[in-house]
Formats: sequence, structure tokens, C-alpha cells
Amino acid sequence: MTFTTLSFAAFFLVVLLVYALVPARLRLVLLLVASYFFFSCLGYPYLLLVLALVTLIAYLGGIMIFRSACVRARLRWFQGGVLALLAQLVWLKYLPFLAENFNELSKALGATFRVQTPGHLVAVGVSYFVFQGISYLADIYLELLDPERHLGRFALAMSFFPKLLQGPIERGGNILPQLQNLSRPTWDGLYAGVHLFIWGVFKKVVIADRLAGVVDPVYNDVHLYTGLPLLLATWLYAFQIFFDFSGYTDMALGLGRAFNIRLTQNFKAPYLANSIADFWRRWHISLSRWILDYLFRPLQLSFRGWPMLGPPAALLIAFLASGLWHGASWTFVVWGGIHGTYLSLSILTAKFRKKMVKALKVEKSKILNYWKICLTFNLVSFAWIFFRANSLDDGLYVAVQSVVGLPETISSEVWRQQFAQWKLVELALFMALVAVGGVLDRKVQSVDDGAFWLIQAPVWMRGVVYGVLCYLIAIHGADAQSFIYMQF
Amino acid sequence: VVTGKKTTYIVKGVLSSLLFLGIFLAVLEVCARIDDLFRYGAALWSPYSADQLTALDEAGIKYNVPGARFEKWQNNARGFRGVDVPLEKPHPDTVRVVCLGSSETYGLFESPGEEWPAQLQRLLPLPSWQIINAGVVGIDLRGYRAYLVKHVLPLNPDVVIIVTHPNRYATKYVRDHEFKASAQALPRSPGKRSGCDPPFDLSKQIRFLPRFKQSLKAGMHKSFPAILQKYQERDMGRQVREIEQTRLKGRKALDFMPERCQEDFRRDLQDVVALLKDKGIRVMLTSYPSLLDRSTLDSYREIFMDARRFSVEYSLAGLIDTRERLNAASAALAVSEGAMYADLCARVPHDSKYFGDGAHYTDQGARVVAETVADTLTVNITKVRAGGKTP
Repeated sequence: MTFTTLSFAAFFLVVLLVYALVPARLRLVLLLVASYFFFSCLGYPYLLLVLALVTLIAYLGGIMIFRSACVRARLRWFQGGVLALLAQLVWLKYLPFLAENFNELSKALGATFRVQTPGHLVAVGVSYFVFQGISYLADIYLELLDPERHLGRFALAMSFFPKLLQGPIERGGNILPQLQNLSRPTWDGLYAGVHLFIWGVFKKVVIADRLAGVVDPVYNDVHLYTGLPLLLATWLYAFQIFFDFSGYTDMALGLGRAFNIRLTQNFKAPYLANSIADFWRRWHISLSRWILDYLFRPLQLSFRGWPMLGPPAALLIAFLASGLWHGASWTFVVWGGIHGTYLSLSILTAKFRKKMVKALKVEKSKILNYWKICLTFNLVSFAWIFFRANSLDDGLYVAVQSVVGLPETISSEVWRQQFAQWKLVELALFMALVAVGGVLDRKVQSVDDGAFWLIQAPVWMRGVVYGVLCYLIAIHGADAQSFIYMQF
Repeated sequence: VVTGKKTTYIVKGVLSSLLFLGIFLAVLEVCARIDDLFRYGAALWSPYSADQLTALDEAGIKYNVPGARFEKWQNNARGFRGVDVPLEKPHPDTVRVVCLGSSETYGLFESPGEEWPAQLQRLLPLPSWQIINAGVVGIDLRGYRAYLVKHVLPLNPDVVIIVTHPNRYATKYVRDHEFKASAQALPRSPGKRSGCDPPFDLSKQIRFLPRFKQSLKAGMHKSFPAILQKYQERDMGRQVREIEQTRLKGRKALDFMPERCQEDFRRDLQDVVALLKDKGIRVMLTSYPSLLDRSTLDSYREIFMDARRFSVEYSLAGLIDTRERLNAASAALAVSEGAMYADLCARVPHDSKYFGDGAHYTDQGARVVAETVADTLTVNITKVRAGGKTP
């Protein structure tokens, strides 16, 4: 039961209706039961146990950290809690990967010892709520937050169904106060929620899934292609993953708004970033802030003895961990490593670049800014190659062949043959749709409280825009695919 | 003053909601029309429906309108589905095969280019073989002779594959004989198309509604398959009961096909075979596969019901009996007339993977049909070419 199915629509409407009718004291129970029911619909009962366990560990850990008078005891409770939470994640997600790599290493070293590789388990949503649990413990440890005493409220903060499968990774400081008084849905909240939800569905079902139809055939058999098709598939994938993930986030935000709960905005027009650092301030904001606050900063502090190499090293490690968070595969680690390297190099070359810009007198040049945006997009797209590739070999092939094979595929028969199946007119129309989607999306993100820009638009414009959106959603909605980020 | 303001506020609200709704619906319709224009080259403002694909000639025989197109279905310049066919064969040795049947041959649920004659052409490629899809939606064995003379014989085919819809034949038979009075008094069976200009129907001109209905059905199938099936069963049951009431007028639906119908079927089919044999054309008969079988009665009850809407004069048992007996008649005739025979029933499994409804194939089903026909053709025609005798 994902957001784009009719079963979810029915589930949501029932929950919303009951939520509006029941007395205030029962709303929390209702949302909690609904969230666990939603999670149970995935069909993996053990995930419910993991969610309950993670909730209990974080809840008790938070109280114990707060109660401990001595610094050492606080630290022990904190470390114990984090380890216990990470253990869940490792058990569910990384054991097969660790075992496979151990066996490979053992083989490479000539040893005969092998460990049995456990089966792969489905771990939908686990990375998100485990990270939320860790941030909760860290905030209490750092005395940024008081622990939540109400187990039900805390459990709902961990499991609130709109954000359960793909985040945003909520901080306790944002979500817990909102759960103190769960008010009846308001027309404004519902209105904004429905608008955001429809916009999210459009981005996912119409744009991202159509792009998947072009990208997937190429990336699922990369060796059939060379040059421009690989390059184009990579660029399109950059848009596919954005519209897929930000579409989900908009839906989650919209659902939250319907219950008067404001979740964290995860995107701010990331492909308009003019540096990689700027990109990470705009892309998957809740995760990048998590990495920054709970991984990079402590690492930076640890490396303070090396003023030159400390921050780049901390960044590299933080992003390698971020890559691993995305999935137990070397392709994700490489993706994280590439971003870590970009950021490290940007720190190491910052002074030189600044001098260059000053010498060329282009500090305020718009062209320079556009160039930076273009360069950043291409650097990010290059990293996406490894994120999307089915294996490291495939990733390397795409990375090399999309450049090496480029001259051969431009203005040649090969180009025409390879593109014949892509139907260029459809592709061009689609790119226009992507561009329009991107521009409108920027307007959505630019509104401070996440309200949809169309709410303020005149009636006729709303009629036209929603007519188009609903038509496209209805036509493509039935064959909606699963969300990319749900696997993480 | 307060009440007046409130009233103005409510009136404004209602008016703006109505304006929104009007614009919203108009935009949906415009989108559907633009979609048709881009995807299928459909005219923006003229009526657009599947009725445009077929028409009735002066003799009352149904044919495909040359060049007509509706959504994925497109007729070529000669009124056949598929690419244009010049009168001359691409090569003197080319075996020209014409596939004659109704909607199961023309193609309904298959993706474009996946209907069984098109798949057969891929299995038996040009220039050795040329396959022509001469299926006409809704045509009946009784119309085959006239259709062959007018539309197929000018092509000088080497082989004609004849697929006959047993239930359609048997239903027409009982309407003409056993249920004559009630059939005359009542409207046409549901879904039956006429070549004559239909009366203007506004609901048929709204193009976005059928698409939304289809999407909703697909979404329901994904999310609530059991509920959808129950609803369809109930809805079909209701429709069948209504048709029964008006058509059967208290009489019981037939559990068995009348003996005389089988004889007529055999005679009509024999006529067609004889016509072709006289012209030196080799004939292939086939059995008519269906999802509906005694073993699948419980699994596909709603599809049985759907089939009964078109043949309400027969009970479920009657439909099965009809198909089995007329298939047997085709097989027997193939033997007695020395025609080739492809037993499609034996090859296409009774599974919804292969059928979009009771009788129309999915891509996979069409594939099995094409393979079966290709096997039969290659064995028999190769034998003839090698100096053997036509079986």
C-alpha cells in the first residue's frame, strides 16, 4: 500500500474521517494504530517488531540519558542506545553485504575460512526511523531536547505513517511539540494538504515514472549503448530521482498537513545549486542535516588537530557513510565517496578558486553563476551513474562510454538507430514537461510554510492546472511504479 | 448587514466552485482530445469512436472502413489491419496467407502489432510468407462468403485461415429460429456496432470519461481485486437478468445447442471451404479457444456472465456445449474436406494470462495462436512445396 494506490486513498480517507470525529484524547491512539496498520500492510510482520523495538530503545535511552547525573553515565547510555539502534539496521540491511565482502576478502587472502551469507531481508523504512531514533538520543545527550515521557506520543513521532517509509527524517524538536495537541483537521490544512498531495502524485506518477521508461531500459542493459544515449539516460535519471523522491516528500507533507502536522521540507530546487555544498543544502535536506550534525561535526571535532586535512577527511568519511546508508552495495559507497571527494576538493581549492575569480573580475557575473549551476548539475549527474548502475562494472562502463563514445554517436547512423526506439518527439515533449514541472516545483518550494502556490491563484487558473494534472495522473496512475527511495 | 454579507459570501463561493468545476471538466475533455490527436492522430472536434472502424455494405455485410483509425486500431488502405498490401506479391514464390475471423483475429486486447496475424508474420517472415489480417469485428460465418468474394479473393491468396466464432453463430441461429419473436421486438445485443450512422449520443462524445473509468478499473484491480471481481460479478449478473427478462420473456435459457444449428454451421462452413477450394486456395480451419471451460467456471464467473450478455439465449452450460460441438464440427469438416486444421483449443491454456476476456487474446495468447498456426502452415505448405500432397 503505497501513496499512489487506491487502497491507500481509501485508508487515508477513513483515517481522516475518524480522526475528525473522535475526541481529542483518542486522536493520538488513532494515528498510532493507523501508522502501525499502514506499516503492517507491507506484508513483513518482523518490520513491526523492529519498529517497536527501535521506538522502545530510543524512548528508554532518552529517559536514561536525561536521568543520568554523571557525564560518563550519560555517554554510556547514549553510546549504548546508538549501538542498539544501529544493530537493528546492520542486522536487517548489512549482514549479507558484510558476509559477502568478508568471504571475498578471505578468498583474496588465500584463507579457506568462510562465513555463511544470510538471506537478504526487506528493510523498508528502517534506515529512516533508526536515524530518527539516533538523532533523538543525540539531541537529548547534547541537551537540545528533553525526553518525551509519553510513550504513545513518542511512538507516533517515530511511526507517523506519511513519513514512515521514506522520511523526512524528523527531529524530535520539530515533530514532538506538534503531537502535544492534535487538533481537528482545518479546511486550510486540508486544502493545502490535498494540493500538495496532488502535486506530489503528478511529479511521481507522470514525470518520474515516464522518465523511468526511458532510463531503465538503458541502465538495465548498459552494454547495448554507447555515448549520447548513456549520457542522456544519466541526465534523465537525475530528473527521475528528483521527481520521484520530491514527489513522495510532497505527498508526505500534504498528508501531514491534513492532520495539521508540518513535516520538514526535504528539497529546495536542488538542481539550481551552484556548488556541491549548496546542492546538499537543497537535496534530501533532512538526511544531509543529519549527516552534518551527527556525523560530520563530531568527526570534524575529532580531527581538529589537522586544520588542513581534518575537514576534508571528515567530509569524505561522512559521505561514505551516507552512501552506505543508502544501500548495502559498493555502488552506493562509490556514490558517497564521489560526493565526499567533491566536497573535500572544494574545501582544499577554495582559496585558489576565490583568487581566480577575483583576478578575472567575475565575482558578480551571472554567466559564472549559470556555469556553476551547469557544472554542479553535471558533477551530481556523474555521481548518479553509480547510484543507478546495477553493478560497479556497469557504473564504470557508463562513466567511461558516455564520454568516450560521444563523438561516435553524435550525427551518425548509430545515433539514429539508438534513438529510433526512444521516439524523439515524445522525449522532447517530456523534457518540456520536466522543465515545466521543475519551474512550478521551485514555486512550491519557495513558499515558506510549504503551502502550494496555486492556492493563491485565480479560480480559472486552478481549474486549468488541476484539469491538466488530474488528467495526466488518471491516465498514468494505474501503472505507477514503486518509489526509488523506498528501498533505502 | 451581516446576513447580507454572509449570503454574498456563500453565493460567491458557490459561483466560484461552479466556475472551477466547469473549467476543470472542460480542461479534462480538451486534454483527452489533445491526447487523441498526439497519440492517434484523431481529429480534435469530430466524433471519435470504434464505430468508425467498420461499416455495412449494400448487401448488409460488415467490412473494415479503409484507412479508418480508432486509438490503437488502424485499417490500411484496403481495409485490413496492418501495413498496406499491394495486389502483386512481393515475390512470385511468396505464400500469401489471409486470416479471416472476427475480433479475435482483428485484435482487441493485444498491444499494436501483437495481434496473432502480425505475430504470425514475424514467425513466417517476408518474402516467403505474406500474412494479411482480414479480421472484421463482429463478422459472422454467414457473412464470410460474401466478404471473401468482395474483399479477399481479389488478393489471390494461397491460403485462407478461417476462424469462426461458435457462440456468435449459435446465438444468431436461435435468435432467428427458437427466440424469433422476442429477438425482433428487442434492441440489438449490447456492444454490437452498426455501420449505419448512429444517433447522436452526447455521452459518447465525452472522451475523458471512458479513460478515467479504465484507469479506475485498473487501479481497483491492483488495490482491491476481490472487491472488483465481486462487483463485476454482481453488475454482470444484474445486466444479464435484465437482458433475460426482456429477451427470454420467461423462457429458459438453452443448456444445449439445437441439433439443427450444428448442421447449418457445417453447411455454411462447407460452402465457404468449397468456394475457396474451387479457386485453388488452400484452407485452414481452426478450433475456437476460449477462457471459458467447464474447469474454469468458478474462477472466471464474471467473464462467463460477460459472455452471456451477448448470448443470453444460452445458459453457461449451453455456451460451453455450443463451443465444444461447433469446434468438433470444424475439426470433422477439416478432415472430410482435406483442409489444414490447427487445434488452437489444445494449445492455448485456459488462463487469464492468455485471454483479456472470454475469447480475446492477450499478447501472450496471440503468441501461442500464431505459433500453432505457423507450425501447421510450415508442416503442410512445406510438404506441398516438396512435392507432397495437401493433407
